[in-house]
Amino acid sequence: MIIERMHIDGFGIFFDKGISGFGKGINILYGKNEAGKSTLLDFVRMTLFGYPRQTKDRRSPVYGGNHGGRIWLRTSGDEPLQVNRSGSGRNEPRIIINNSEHNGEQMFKRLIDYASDDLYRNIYAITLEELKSVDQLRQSGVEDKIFSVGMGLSGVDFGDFEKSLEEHASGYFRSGGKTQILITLVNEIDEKQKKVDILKGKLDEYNRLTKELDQKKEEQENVEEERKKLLRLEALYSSYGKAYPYFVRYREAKEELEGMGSRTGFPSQLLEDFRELKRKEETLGEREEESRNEISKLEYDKNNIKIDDDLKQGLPLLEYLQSNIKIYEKALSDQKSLEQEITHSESVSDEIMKRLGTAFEKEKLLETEGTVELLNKGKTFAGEVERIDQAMERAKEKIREIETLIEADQGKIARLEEETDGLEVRDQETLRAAQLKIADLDTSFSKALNLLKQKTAVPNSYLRWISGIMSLIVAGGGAFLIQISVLGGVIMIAVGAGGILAVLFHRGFRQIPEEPADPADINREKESLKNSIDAYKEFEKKREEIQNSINELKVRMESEKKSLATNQSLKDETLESWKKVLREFNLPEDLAPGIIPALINDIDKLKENARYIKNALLKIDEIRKTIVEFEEKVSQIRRIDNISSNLQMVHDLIRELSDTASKCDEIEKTEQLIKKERETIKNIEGERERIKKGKDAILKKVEADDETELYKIFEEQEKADSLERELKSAESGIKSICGHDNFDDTVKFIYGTGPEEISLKIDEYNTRLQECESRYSSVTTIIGSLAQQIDDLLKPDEMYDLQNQVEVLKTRLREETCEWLATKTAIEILSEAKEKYEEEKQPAVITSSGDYFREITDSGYIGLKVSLGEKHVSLQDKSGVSKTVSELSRGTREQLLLALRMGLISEYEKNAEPLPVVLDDVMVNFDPERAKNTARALYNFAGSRQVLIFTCHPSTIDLFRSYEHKLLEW
Amino acid sequence: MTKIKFIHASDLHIESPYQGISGMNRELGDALIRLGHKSYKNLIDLCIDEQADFLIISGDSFDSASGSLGAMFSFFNGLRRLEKNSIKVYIICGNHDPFTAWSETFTLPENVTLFSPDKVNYELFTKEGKPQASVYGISYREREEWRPLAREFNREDSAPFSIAVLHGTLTGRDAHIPYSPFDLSTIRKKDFDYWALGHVHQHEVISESDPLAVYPGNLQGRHFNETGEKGCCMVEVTGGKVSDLQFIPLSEVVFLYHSADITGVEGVTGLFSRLNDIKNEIAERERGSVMLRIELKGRTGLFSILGDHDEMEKLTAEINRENDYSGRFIYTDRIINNTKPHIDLEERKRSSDLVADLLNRFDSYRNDSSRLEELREKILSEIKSSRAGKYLDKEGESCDLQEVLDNAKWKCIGGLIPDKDKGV
Repeated sequence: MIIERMHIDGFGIFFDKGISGFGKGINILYGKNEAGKSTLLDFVRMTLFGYPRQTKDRRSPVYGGNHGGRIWLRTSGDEPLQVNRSGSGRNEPRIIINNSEHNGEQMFKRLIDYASDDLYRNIYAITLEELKSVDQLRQSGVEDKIFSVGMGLSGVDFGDFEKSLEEHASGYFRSGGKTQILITLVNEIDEKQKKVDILKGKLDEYNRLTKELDQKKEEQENVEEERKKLLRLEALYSSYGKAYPYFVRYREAKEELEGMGSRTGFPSQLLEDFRELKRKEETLGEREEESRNEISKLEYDKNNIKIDDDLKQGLPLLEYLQSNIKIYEKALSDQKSLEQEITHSESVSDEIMKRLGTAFEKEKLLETEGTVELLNKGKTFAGEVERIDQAMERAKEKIREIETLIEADQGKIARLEEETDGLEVRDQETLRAAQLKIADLDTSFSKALNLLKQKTAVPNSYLRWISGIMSLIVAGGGAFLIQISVLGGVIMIAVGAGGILAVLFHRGFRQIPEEPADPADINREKESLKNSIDAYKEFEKKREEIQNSINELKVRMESEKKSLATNQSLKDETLESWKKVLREFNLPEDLAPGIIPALINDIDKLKENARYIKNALLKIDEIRKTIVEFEEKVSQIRRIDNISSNLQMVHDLIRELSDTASKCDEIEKTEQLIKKERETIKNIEGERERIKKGKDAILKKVEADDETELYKIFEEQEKADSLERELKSAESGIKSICGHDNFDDTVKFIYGTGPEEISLKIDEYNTRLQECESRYSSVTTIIGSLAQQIDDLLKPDEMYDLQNQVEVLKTRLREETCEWLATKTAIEILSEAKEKYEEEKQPAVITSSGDYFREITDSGYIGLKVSLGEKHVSLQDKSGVSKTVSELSRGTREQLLLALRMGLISEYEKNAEPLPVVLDDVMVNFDPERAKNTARALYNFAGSRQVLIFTCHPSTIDLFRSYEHKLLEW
Repeated sequence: MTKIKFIHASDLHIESPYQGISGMNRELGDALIRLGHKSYKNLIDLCIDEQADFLIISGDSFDSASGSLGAMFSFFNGLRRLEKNSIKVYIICGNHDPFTAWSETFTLPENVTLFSPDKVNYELFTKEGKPQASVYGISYREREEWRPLAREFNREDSAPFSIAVLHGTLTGRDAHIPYSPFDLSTIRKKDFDYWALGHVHQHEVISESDPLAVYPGNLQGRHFNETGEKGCCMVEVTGGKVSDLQFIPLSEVVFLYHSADITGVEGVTGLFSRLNDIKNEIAERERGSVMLRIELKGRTGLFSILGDHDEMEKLTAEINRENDYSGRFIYTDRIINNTKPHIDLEERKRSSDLVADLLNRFDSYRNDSSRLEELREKILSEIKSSRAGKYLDKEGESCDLQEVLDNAKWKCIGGLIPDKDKGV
């Protein structure tokens, strides 16, 4: 099959690209670097054999367009066919064979004898990379590569693959190996299984131990039975041994009793009673003796007590005196205190009255009522008066201030006047004169200017009269005005007065000379006058101001005075009202309201004193009664003068009375005791009689004549009783030791057996008992040990875990064994295939390759040998020397590989449709000679095949110039 | 009408080891042990919580072959708990715990009736002063019991409800060793109301009525042949008739297969992600812990990786790396590669190169089992003479030859045909 042309719709860098002109034989596709040789190769491969699954490997069009294209081919049977495949979508090609379209590629695959993409790569597509890859291989690698190539497995290293399978299998198992997976697993299984087996024995061990435990428990029970039996026997004989002394006592008591014969028994209580009576009798005797002695003593004491009759008479008052002496003393004290206080109160009242003076009468003061009202009124009036006084005081103060100010102002005026004394113009009169003078000077000046003006002195008396009249008018007006406004009137009066004074005391004015004067002089004079006038006016102004101030002050002073007068009137009225109040209370009218609180205090004090004195007198009366009564009582017993001053004597009296009372009591007590002792003696005698009767009765009962006989009877009885008791005690002892029900047997047994024999039996049983104890202890220890072992067995162990692990290991062993088996199977079958191939096909491939290699090397190497068994490749050069692949140069190795491929293709096509051979710049590393040879070999190889040579080297084109070829450029 | 409630369990296999698991670390091992014990505890707790009147165990309470004292001890402790709660227990021995294997030294609690192997006996269950049910049973004396014991069951009482307890195989069920075989017609003739069966580890009601015959299945799956929930049956009887039958899942860990088509999954990362998705899906669906095998199908470029034993071991280990065995876990035991590469082998075989020849060679072996057998023998001969030979020989004999052959073929394809050429 050959390619005739192709059209690329869109594939990698190609867009809408058509390449035609392909034919049989050598087809050189020349393109520079980056022209897209690899892309074109991929297009051919993918279009013919299908696009890869991965989109990224499909060489999507870079410049747009539908992804894919078509190739026109012609089969070796000269059938045209077109393969149209898209790079997107499901990748199903459109095949047109002989102008018939077929969907799906079954037909196409059949035509190409089911050649696949990998087959095409392995056989038909020879790339420089593949040739170059052999350069990095070692000898064996190269040989493997050669073999692989020879088997049509160009893309894989067959030897490596075989080796990997072997290694994989060896990893699982190797004969004699110890660390391989399967061996290791087997060993692990063994090891764990052994542990499991050991632990499995636990169940049997458990059964065994449990059985043994049961046996030992049974044995323990038996030993226990025997032990109990021995204990019983030992106890029995021990009891006999213990009972033996009791037995002896029993026997002796019994014999003695029998020897005493029969007797009547009297209750021992009778003896006790008799003895008791005898004891009582003795006790009574002693008691009687004591009583008599006591009586004598008491009589003696009584006789020694002495009492004063008078005091005895006064004993009824003792209690009264004892309980009232303190009251009496207190009464005396209280009386004295009261009297002192009365005196003091009277003294205070006298002082008050003295202080108040004769205007007051005490009795009246004591009768004064409504002191609270009076107090309040006093406070009110006092406050009012005080307020008025304060206002008046303020007014007075102000008046004084004003007077001081007026005086100061007047002083100022005086000082001003002093200052103006030297002035030419110093008052109204001189002012008028100056003014007239100025007028005259003006005239003079005019005159002087006119040279001939005469001035006549203005008669100053005219001015003086006018000034005086004017001043009078002003003063009169002021006098009138003062009725309306004091200040205004005063001012006007002052001005008028000032004017009058100025008229009266003017200094005169300078007359204007009649003779014409110098105008300058006139001016100067006039100026001087004006200055004086100005000064005076200034003075007047200041004086007026001060005067005004004075006038104001005066007005103010008048006001204050008026206020003062008003307050005074008010005060007078207030005082008048106050007097009225005083009258109402019958108090002197000259009392100031301010003293009322103190007065009321005094009145209250007086009243209080009066009340106190009254009460005190009443109390004194009461106290006197108590005192009198007490003193009378004392006097009844003993006469004491001035009792109140001799209290000690009263105390002494009381003490004496008390002593006397004590003595009387004592006498009485003594008499009581004597009486009592006499009673006791009487009782004793009666008791003694009864005792005697009792004793006689007892003697009669026991038929004894006297006491001695009585004792004798009871003594014998006592002895018999004692023996009885002894007998009973011994019997009781035997019973308690040997058992109540066993008494008779015990006695009977001991009667017939000696103590020695009993002792021997006891020893025997003790010995046997010890042996038994020892056996019991031993069995118990064994039982404990067995129980512990069983407990230990029942503790959780790792058996289940181990069993699981064993199962896991077995599963893994199975899996790994199958994996190993699969690997070994693959090796075997692969080996079969390889062997067959090597036998049937590879020789032809090698032969054919050898021919091509010889041609390429120009008989530089004449033989190619492949040792199938050892996978060894050797070459024979023209001189017959064998060389290994490693001895070849890089280029020669590449040539060898190329020759092998050519041989393989030749062999393959014996049974399959030829396909276009693709060579991708494979000759670039060949020297020129070898390259030329290769070109020739390829040309011969091509024949009716199609060989597509992709190159970017012009030299490659040159190689084929002498051969028929097609050169395609794109 | 008096009601009775009983629990029917079978094939407890206490402390029987787990089988068929490819890898187990310490934590997983401990977890499986713990969960195995828990399932038995769940059974006992169920009886107590439901205030069951009695418990029936239809054989194989433990595995005497494993010889575990702990198993027996654990089993008896559970029975004692039921004794404390006054719950009766009726037990028969099966092939794994035959009568002769029961320890003489473990004393049965008072509430437990262990049926004798001599002949079929019965016990009356009394409630409210009257017999309410009769329980008939017979034990296996030895491990193998081929007699059709069902025929020896004959009704001898007049209690309102009767139960026959049998460890046996329904005829026609080839999957199991057919100890004590019986058929439905036999048991239907026997006038028992309920057949409490054991031996088959899959829950099944083989007869809905007249009589009701039930395999409760085993209590806890132990390998991948025993997939799905395991547990027991709870039966309520009212007036002598079954009024309710429920399957109660008790197993703490289930064995599961999951099949997934990974066509379209690209790259190992994509595969890993898909496997994790599967894991999460199962975690949401299942109640307890899961031992999982994932079968991958479809056409994929990952075929060569999936066929690489070592790579798949690593991938499986990675998937399981973050499992926390102290609680619920999903353990991926194996990934089964049933995917196919993109390459069309049928077409590839039609070429005349070495690869085509190789593929045809594999086909010829596939079609000639005796030749394949010979090949196996040849390979195994290598190991027979080794110290571990007997183990490996036995394991090698047990390998499925067709699977081995397929595995070998794909190894060759993976090694000889480069990945990028496995186009459409």
